[in-house]
Amino acid sequence: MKRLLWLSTLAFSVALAACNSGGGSSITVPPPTGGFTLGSLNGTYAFSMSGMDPSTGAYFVRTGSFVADGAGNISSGLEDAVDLGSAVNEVTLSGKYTVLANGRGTIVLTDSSGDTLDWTMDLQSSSQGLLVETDGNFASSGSFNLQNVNDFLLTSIAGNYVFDFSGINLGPSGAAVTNISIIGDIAANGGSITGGVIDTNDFNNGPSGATILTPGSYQLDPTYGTTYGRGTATFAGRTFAFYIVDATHLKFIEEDATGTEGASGDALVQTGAIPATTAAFTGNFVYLVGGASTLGADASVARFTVSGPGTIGSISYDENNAGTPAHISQGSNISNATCAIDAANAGSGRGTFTFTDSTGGTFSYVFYLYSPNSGVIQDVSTNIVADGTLLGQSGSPFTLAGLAGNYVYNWNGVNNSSLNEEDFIGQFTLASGSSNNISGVLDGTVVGASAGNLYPNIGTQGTLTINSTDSTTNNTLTIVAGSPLSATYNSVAYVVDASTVLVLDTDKSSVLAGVVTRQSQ
Amino acid sequence: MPIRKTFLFIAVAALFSAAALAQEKSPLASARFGAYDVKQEGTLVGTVIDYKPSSTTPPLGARLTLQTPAGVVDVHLGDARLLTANHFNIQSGDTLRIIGAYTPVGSSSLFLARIVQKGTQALTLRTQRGFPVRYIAPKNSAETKSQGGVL
Repeated sequence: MKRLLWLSTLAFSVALAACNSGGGSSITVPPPTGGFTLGSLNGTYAFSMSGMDPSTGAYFVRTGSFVADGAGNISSGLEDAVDLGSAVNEVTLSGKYTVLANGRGTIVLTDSSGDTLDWTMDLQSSSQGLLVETDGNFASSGSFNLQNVNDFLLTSIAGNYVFDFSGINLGPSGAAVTNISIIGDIAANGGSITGGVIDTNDFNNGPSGATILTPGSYQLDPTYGTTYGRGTATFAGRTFAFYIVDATHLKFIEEDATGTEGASGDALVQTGAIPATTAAFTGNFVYLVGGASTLGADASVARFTVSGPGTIGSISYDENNAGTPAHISQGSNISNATCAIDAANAGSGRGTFTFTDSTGGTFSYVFYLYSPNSGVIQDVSTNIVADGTLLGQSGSPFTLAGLAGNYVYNWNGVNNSSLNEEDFIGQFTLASGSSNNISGVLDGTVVGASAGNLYPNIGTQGTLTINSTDSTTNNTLTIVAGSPLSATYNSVAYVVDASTVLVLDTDKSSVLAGVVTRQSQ
Repeated sequence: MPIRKTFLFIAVAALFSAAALAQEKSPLASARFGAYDVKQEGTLVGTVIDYKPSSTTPPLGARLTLQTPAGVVDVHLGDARLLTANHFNIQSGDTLRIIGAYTPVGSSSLFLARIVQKGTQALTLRTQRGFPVRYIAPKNSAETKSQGGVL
C-alpha cells in the first residue's frame, strides 16, 4: 500500500565505500520476455514517490497524475512536490515513455519550469506499477495506479477511509527533527470529513494513543480536479493535496504552509465487515513496518495467528535494527501475547496487539483495518517510530511451485554506512517449482555511493527458499546484483499469499525492506 | 537476537566504583533492544581513547571509547554530520562530559549519548526519548533541482 519511510535517521560525512559487498561482478540482464507493450500504459495514472534530497538529506515527496496515450507519449500530467524546508511546488508535466516486453520501461518528463524528470518503471500490470527516480536529483521511489476518471467527483469520496501517512517534522527552531507517523480512520460524506480517529508517533512526543478528530473538509481542485482527480483536504490540523485513484483509494501529500512538516501516504476505503469486537478479529496476519529506532534505521517483518478472542500465537518476527538483525520464534519465550479491537472506537477498525519476548522485550502495535483482515499498522514500542502494512495471510501451504512466476518489487531503506537513502525497483522470475533460482533486473539509486548514485539496468541472480509453508520459520530471498552495484542482499521472506511476499534485508550494511508482488498482464 | 540485559554487563558493572554506579545506571530490566529511558540517564566524564565517525560495528554511526574512572565505556553518538556541522571536533585525548543512558545491544551494552560536552561547547545528539537528532543540511539559496517550478 505504501512505501516505507526511512530516510537518514543518522548520517555520516563519509562517502559510501560499498554496498552489501560480495555481489556478482558480471551478471547478464535476461532478455526481456513477456507481453507488455507501449499499449500496456494507457490511461490516467496517479503516482506517489518519496525519499530524500541527496544534497541536504531533506525529506522529499512527489504525488501527481499523468496521462499515457498507449503509444509512448505522456500527453499531460500534474504533480505536487515537497522538498521539506522549501515551498511546495505544483507543476504540469509532459513527456515520453518506453515499455519492454517484461514491463520494465522509462518515463521521461519535462515539467512546466523546463526541468526534466527521469524515472524507471516496472509494470506489475497495465493498471499499476513501480517507479524509481533515475535522474539523480532526488533519491525516491514509489508506485502508480490507473485512475478511474469517472470517480473524479467530490461525491465519490464518501465512506470511512483508513490511511497511513509518514514523513518528517522539522519542529520549531531549536527542536529536534523527527520522523512522524500518522495512521487512522476518517469519515467522509462527499464534502466534509465528519470525524475520525488517529494515532500519531514521533521522536519527541511518543505514541499519542487514539485521538478523536474534529471535523475537516476537502474539495476538488477547480482547475485540475476533473482532469487529474486532484483535490485538497484539511484535517488533523494539517493541509493536504490528494489525487483520486478511484472512489476507494486516494493518494495524499501533506503541504504544510510553514514548510515544517512533510508526509505522504495512501487512504483506502473500509470495505467488508470491519471487526467491531475482539472476538470478531481472527486469522493469520503478516506485517511489515519501517522507520527508526534509537539506534538508527529500523524495520521489522513478522507473522502471527489470532487463535482465539484476544489471543495471538505462532509468532515469527524478524528485525533489522541499524544493522543488527534479530529473529524471534514463538515458544516459551513469548508471553503476554494479546490483541484487542478498540471498543471505545468501534467501527474505526482500530485495534492493538502486543507480545513480550523473554530476551527481546515488549513489542506493541496499533492498527486500523480497511478490510476484515488487512490494514495499516504503527509500531508503538518504546524505542521505535515506524509504520507499514498489516495483511491477512492466506493460501498456505506455500510452495515453490505455487509461487513460480514473474514478480516486481520495490525496496527502500538506509545504507548503514552512509546513512543515506537507497531505493530499488526490480523484477525477477522464479521459473518453476523445481528450482529456487531466480534471475532478473533491478534499477536503483544509492545516495553517496562511490560509483555514483545511479544503478540502472543491473542484472540479478539469486534464490527464493521456502523453508516454511506458512512463514512461521524463516523463508529467504537472496538477490545478487551485478556490477557496478556488485551487492548481495540477504532477506527474510514472509509469504502473504501466492502473489505477495514481504521482505526484510538482514545484512548489517543496509536496512532495506519492501514488497514483492506477482506480475500479471 | 535482541538482548535486554546480559551477564557481561552485570559483571562489568560490578567492577564500577560506588560513585560511578551512582551515575551510570543499568538498562531497564524489561527494556527492548535499544530502549532508552531518560529517567535512567547518567553522566560520564572521561577521556577519549578512540573516536570513529563511522563505526563498522552495528549499530553504525559515530562512536567513541571513553576511559572513565569506573572503566572503559562504548559510546554511540549518532550522526557524525551533526557533530561536523556544529564544529564539534572530537579527538583521542579529549576530555568529554556525556549525558545519556545505557541500552542493551546484542550481547553487551552501549551508552547512547544524548548530550555531549567538550569544554564550554555542548551539543544535543538525541531527543529525550533517545532518538538520534536528524541532520539536514542547509539548502542552497539558488535551488536548481528539477523538482519543478511554479506554474
